[in-house]
Amino acid sequence: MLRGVVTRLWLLAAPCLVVMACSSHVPTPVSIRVGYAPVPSFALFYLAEDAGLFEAEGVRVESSKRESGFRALDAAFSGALDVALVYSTPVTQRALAGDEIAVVGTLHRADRLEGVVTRPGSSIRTPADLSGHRVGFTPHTSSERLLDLLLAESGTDPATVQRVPGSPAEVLSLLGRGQVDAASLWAPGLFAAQHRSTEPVSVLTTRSHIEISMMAGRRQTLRDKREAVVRLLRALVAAEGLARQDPIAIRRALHRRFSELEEEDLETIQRQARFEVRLSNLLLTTLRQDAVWLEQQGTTRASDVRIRDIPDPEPLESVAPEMVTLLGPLPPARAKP
Amino acid sequence: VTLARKLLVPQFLLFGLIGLLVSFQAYISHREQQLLQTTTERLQQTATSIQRLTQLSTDVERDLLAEQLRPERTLRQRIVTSTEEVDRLLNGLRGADWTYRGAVLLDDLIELRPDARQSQEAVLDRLHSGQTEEARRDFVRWWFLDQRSSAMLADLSVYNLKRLDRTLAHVQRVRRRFDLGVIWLAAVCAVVVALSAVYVLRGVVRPLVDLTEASSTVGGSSPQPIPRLEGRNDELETLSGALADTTERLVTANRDLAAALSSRDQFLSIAAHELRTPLTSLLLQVQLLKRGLGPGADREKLARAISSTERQVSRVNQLVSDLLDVTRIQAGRLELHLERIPLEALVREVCTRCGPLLDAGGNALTLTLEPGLVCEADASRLEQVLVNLLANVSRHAPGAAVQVSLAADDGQAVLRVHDDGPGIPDQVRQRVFERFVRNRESKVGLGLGLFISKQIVEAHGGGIELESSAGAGATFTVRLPRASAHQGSMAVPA
Repeated sequence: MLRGVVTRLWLLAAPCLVVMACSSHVPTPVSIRVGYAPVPSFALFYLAEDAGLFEAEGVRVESSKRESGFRALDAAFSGALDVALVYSTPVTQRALAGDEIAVVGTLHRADRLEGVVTRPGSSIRTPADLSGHRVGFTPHTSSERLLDLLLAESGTDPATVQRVPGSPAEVLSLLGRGQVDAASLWAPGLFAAQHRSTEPVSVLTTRSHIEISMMAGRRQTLRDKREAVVRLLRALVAAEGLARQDPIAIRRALHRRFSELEEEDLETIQRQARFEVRLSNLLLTTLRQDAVWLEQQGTTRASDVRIRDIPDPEPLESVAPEMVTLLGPLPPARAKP
Repeated sequence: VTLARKLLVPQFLLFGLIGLLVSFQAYISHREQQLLQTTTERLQQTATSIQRLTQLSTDVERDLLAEQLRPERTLRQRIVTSTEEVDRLLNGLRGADWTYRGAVLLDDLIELRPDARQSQEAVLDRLHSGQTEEARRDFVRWWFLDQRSSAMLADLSVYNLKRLDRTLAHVQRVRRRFDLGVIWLAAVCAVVVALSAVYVLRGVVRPLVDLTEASSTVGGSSPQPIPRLEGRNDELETLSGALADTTERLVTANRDLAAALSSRDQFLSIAAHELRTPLTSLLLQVQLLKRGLGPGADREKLARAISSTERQVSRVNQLVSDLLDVTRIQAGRLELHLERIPLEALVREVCTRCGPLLDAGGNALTLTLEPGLVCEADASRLEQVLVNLLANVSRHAPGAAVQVSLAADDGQAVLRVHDDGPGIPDQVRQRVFERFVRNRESKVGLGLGLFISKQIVEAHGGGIELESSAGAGATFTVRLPRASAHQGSMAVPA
């Protein structure tokens, strides 16, 4: 009799257990809106998208393209987006303005993938040669920051350079039409400008300038969307693992989106960039350097702004703690037993 | 030995498992300790190098700033020395056990060094040549690179610390596996204990309980047979066999005892009856004699009464003698006075003496006696045997012809008493030499004659046997060893 009761209970419990087991493996889908400027720096994002890693993590990413990271961040703060994929300069600018901005992880770090490209046939060879010339740039972005850094390192008075603002596409167009003598660009515009002419062009760059792309947004929005952010990060971490196992994967993802890039460009990108999801001290240093530059440019720092508070390590800590290398306050000492 | 092995093997197995567990635990702990010690030492070495690198970076920055304010050869030399040490330390860090991410970062940091060194040398060269403004620009460039290097160094420092996390995670993983192993081993131990318990309960305790229950019924009204635990090849099988055998013997002995008690009761009843009959008769005879005594007594009548009294006394005497013989036989005190006896004469004399008895029974006697047979025997006891046999014929086969023969057979003297009477029934024949066995129709005697005869013959080293079937008469054959050269009288135990 006892055996019969146990059998009946088991028959009742088994379907429940199966349902529970299945439900624990299939997370409820969540969605997140991500905006970005189409640049190769976000290769991990593209790779995750191509490999279906977002779907695998149960996050539906509604991605939309913007003119620049600066615009994407604007959209994030206006509520049109949840997360913006952006470089450091717009983030620092927002932070100095007192906006509650948070960075949940970087996507890459690189150097010499931004530069000032000269017009074909131009006599400009060094940053000092920019003096007295028209230089196109995108305001409030790393484009402007690189231009200023090159001028500072060469000891050139910024006032001697005639700046022509515009979106990346506009700047590239101006350079193509010869309406500017040089243009501060990032990839893929940087490579496009070089390939347009058969005549040699100069690319002015410096290792002092480091590019770091990141996922940023309104702190409260990111907190509200924590589950989606965590899954997004998990998918990107998986993409990083995929890229490590198959180095060509990144190149394939970039080639699919930037068909204008030549194989040589892709190799350069892969050689000079590190596609990695991190929250590091290098990020803090870059943000601090940006802050110094912006303040030198006349940006007013709102009170109680701390660069150290911009990164929000909690989501990435929960996904991959080894990827958070921020030096922070020591954890509270344990009480003696 | 087998049962002990069966009981001890699980315990040894458990002991082995626990020993294995303890050894495994000691091994894991030792490995963990070694791993943690090694990791900590490497971590400390790397941390010290990184700390030194940070210090050197600060020193170089301070010295470069000081050099701009007041160029000095000593400062310049120190900057060069520090730079060389930085390069050496960075290359030394390559030997540390980095994770993939740490190794990539270290490579990037080392790859940044030529630019930093170039900027630094440019600053010093400009200062040396008095180009202060240019030196300041180069310093700015160096400063940016140094900032970047410092940040990467800080990240590297965290990666270094996280190596401990990785080691701890490894230890935790091993520990978890070990815990799982412990759980498995505990489960195996539990199974062994459970199987052992089941075996002890079903293989040892249950048979013992069965044996106890069966044993407790022995001697009761419904005894159960003692189970024989065959096929076990262990001590329980031996024990159950011994118990069953002993019980069977006890049951048999008990049955014999009950039969003996029954025989005793029967004997007492018969003895009382047998003794009372002649005693009653004696009493009547004595009373008759008492009345007959006096003047004018009829002497013939008195003589008949005295003869009758004598017969009754003789009968009582015979009964008492038989009882006395039985008592002696049972006590092992039957004494024989052995002497060389010529059997022919003895048989002939006894037959002659029993003539009236046989005549009274209407039995015609025929003697066939081989002369010259001599036995070493107690003559009175042999007479007793023959008288018993002839008295039985007279009593149970009245009118039957009796043949008594004596012959030699292979060193033995064979005495046969044959009658052609009705024979002895089967149920009586099988037990005819036992005590108190009487023919159902017989109302006379204690049923001791043949028992005593058998005991006497066997005491002489011979044997007695009966051949009979219903309606075909009966033959009692007494075999006695013929006398040897020795001569004399001796007492022989029964």
